[in-house]
Amino acid sequence: MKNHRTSIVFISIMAIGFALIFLSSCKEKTNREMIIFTRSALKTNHLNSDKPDSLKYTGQTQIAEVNPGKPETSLWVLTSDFYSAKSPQISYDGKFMLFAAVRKQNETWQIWEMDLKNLKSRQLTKLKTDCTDPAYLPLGSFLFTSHSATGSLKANESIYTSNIDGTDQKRITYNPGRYVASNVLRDGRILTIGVQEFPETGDQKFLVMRPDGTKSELFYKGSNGSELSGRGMETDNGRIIFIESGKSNPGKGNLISVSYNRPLHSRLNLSSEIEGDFRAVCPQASGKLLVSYRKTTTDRYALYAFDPENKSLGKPIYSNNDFDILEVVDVMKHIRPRKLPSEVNAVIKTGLIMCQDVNVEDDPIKISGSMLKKISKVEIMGIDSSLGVFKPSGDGSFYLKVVADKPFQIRTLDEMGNVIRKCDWIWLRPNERRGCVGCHEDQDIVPDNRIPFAVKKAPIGIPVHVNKIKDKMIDTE
Amino acid sequence: MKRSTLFIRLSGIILVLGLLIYIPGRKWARAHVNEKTATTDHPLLCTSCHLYIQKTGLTAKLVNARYLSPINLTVSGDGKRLYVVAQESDALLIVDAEKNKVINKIGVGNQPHSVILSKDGLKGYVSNQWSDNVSVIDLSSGIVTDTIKTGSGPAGLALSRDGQALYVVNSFSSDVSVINLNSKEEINRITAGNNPTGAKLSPDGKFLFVTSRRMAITPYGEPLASELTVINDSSRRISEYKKIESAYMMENIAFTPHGDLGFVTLIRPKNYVPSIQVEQGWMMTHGFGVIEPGKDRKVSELLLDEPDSFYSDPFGIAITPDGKKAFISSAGADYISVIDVDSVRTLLAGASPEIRKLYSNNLGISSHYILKRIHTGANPKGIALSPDGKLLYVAEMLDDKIGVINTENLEKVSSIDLGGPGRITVARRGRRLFNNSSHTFQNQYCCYTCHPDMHEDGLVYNMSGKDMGKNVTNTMTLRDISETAPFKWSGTNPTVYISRTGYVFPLSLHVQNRSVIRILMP
Repeated sequence: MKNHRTSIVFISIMAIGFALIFLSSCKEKTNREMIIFTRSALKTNHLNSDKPDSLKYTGQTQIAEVNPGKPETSLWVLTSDFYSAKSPQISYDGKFMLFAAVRKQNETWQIWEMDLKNLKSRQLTKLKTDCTDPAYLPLGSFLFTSHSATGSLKANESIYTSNIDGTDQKRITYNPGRYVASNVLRDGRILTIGVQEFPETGDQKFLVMRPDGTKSELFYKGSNGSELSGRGMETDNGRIIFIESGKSNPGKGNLISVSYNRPLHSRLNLSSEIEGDFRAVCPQASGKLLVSYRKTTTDRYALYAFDPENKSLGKPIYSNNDFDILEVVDVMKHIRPRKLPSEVNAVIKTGLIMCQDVNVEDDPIKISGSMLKKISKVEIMGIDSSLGVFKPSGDGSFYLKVVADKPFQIRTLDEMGNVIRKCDWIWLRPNERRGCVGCHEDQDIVPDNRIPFAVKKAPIGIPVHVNKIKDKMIDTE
Repeated sequence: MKRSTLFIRLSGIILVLGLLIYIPGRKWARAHVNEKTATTDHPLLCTSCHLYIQKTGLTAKLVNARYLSPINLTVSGDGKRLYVVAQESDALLIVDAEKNKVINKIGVGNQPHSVILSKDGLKGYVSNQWSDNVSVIDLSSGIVTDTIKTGSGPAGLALSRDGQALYVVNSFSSDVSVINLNSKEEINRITAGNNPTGAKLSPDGKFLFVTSRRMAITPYGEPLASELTVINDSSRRISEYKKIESAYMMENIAFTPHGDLGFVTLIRPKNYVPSIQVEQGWMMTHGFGVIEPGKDRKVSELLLDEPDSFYSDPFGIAITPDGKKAFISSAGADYISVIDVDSVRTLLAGASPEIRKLYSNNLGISSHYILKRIHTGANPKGIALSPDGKLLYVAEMLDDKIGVINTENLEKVSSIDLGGPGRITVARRGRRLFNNSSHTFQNQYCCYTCHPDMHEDGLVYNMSGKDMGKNVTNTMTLRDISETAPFKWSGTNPTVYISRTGYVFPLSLHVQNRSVIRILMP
């Protein structure tokens, strides 16, 4: 009798267990061979109508997934609980998805993470301003873009980082510009599209920086007026793939590939022989690319495979006459980027910058040294006023201690005070130490092996004319 | 007493005893590891020191293995045999190049470095770096027939034009022994540059070029240069000490068949530049020198690196018999770079000294002449071409293999397993880490770069601490570091390690006299 009762209890527990497993798997989706994309019912006219900063104005977008093997029957909208959702990015283990979404119309965009096994989402940011363009950083953190003011200027998109549970949110960019469509390279640096906004709007460029906001530098820029769309995606063979449209043909999104090793000088247009325009790209493990493409402006953007070796477009993987496909990601494991060390120390309120020789210009091989204009002085410009003018050392070097997290511009001046050259806005993070070879954008030039005269003395404090701030700054350290 | 009660009581006693030992024992272990490693975060792993770095006894035999570590090699005149120097096995391996199989293993001296063949191909000469001698091997019988005494640390080898004399580069005593091969005796000793290694006779047979790895001794802050020693083969006297500016670690040298260009591997360090960033080649750049052996013996320096990718620790160099392609192994990056020699000629033709200097600091210039990068096994060192130039053999030192590359399609076609131990020990894994630059940003340098041969590179670095230019630090040797705690496992400088003035304390002194350290502490 006792044995009989024990058997009944055992069988009941087993039955309940199986039922629970069965019920919990109802909503579970297998993500093998799945492609996730963003779709919009609103007709997208061309690339320029959807500049990166107008993410929230693209209308209602959905994130959906499809099995490329059976696209007609496998479509599944993942963000049906949201009014609009965009910018999906898959975690390095292929199990989670970051995305930006709004629950209800007129709410702010926030960052969410979805478990792709049970399709449950959790909110990671709760800021008052829009949070968009999320991307995974290695080892339990992520980055996103949100609005923040820089000095006296109106708020623009800056990059923030955060722990994956939404804690410890930190702003890492501080110049008067916008940053959108960020991604993380395998070397651990953030690759982002940056646009200078002050005093006038500049061209879109790919910039790289460490995840603490240090060592920001140019990665790629196209011809004047060209526009970039979406994230730069790194392939297994050392290329960065992205969509770019030229000023002369703004309606046509080209599929561009540059070498990671030398991005400024290795541009390859993969779609030059293909009529139509591209909207989004994602590399696959096979070496092929997933692309969003349409042949004419009357067509909808549909999902295709693209062979970068032969520069040829395959057959459509998925298309829908009611929707444009705006972004695409492949659900798969990715190589986890390198975790870079950080020198940022919030206690120290300044950073150091050293320039080895202000006379070094872009491509000095083409410009004979004797033809260069004689640089007499260097001026450090803030947003509202000059922060100081000084003479470089005899070897052309200078060494500055600058208040951290404040944008500044370096200008070289001739004897008469005329501006010879100015660089883009830069900033230093607290305790950042940074070096420049000279006044140039090209990354080809390495420093000459000599001790710069300037570092034999104490650094010049910037701003030089605000003694109180300077003293306070020194006291702090 | 019931058996179960006894069991429970015994378990309880063991648990209490265990806890009593564990808690203070753990504290003691933490203090011991902190003291030995000079860090506070090293894991409490007794095996790290008490198992894996044991050098003697049964434990050492069990956990370690004797690897071959091929460092240099040469190919027989008919291309059928490879002669491979197995540095860690103190042996010369003879490999059947058709069957890709080791057919003989000949014991030589301690830590052999290089091998060359006599002009008739019947004898082999192997330099034994730690035995201070050269082994003479009868290749048909595989017997060491003679051992010739040399200077200290024999490394690179070259034959005189007539084949009657052997030049032996003594890397430790920084000179070159001239050996009469008939009498088997040293007949002359010629002073070379600092820590010389590679040697090559120019194709016209007039001059011997000897590379050096270290900079000539210079006061801190003065321009640095290494010396390329040029020796007249007829007179056996110095022709010139050619200064190679801002470069060191010139490991090997090769010439085009017509002798119009010579290529020498080198590193251009940035030790004078404050070490505030790695990006854009602020720590190390790697390249080669191009020697134009005319009247002035002009030397230009070009980089192998690219703006976002570095090819650390160039070592081996070979040029095809048609003079069209040069191959350089990057031992830290596991790559062979293929250079289009004609493109180098075009680039340098008519370039002024000022422009050539700009080339040497330009990471983009390599796009003009690099044809391809070929991935290799771990730590590619010496390389050699088959006589027809169709195959390139690569000594993959930390894989115990010889990689075979087709020089026409520039693809790796096979790999010759030399028969080393199959397993990878902890020590071997550590050595791979030490020699591989993939652990630094964009492969710019590895531990070996500043600590060649686990030693030091002789440079003083402008390390950036709180400020720039105020923390001048020499590289220290890592030899026998396992005997001299603290080990700096975390890679950071513990506070007690550096005094306020930036003076670096010798590790051994730190252990021997802690009170001195305390006096210097801020």
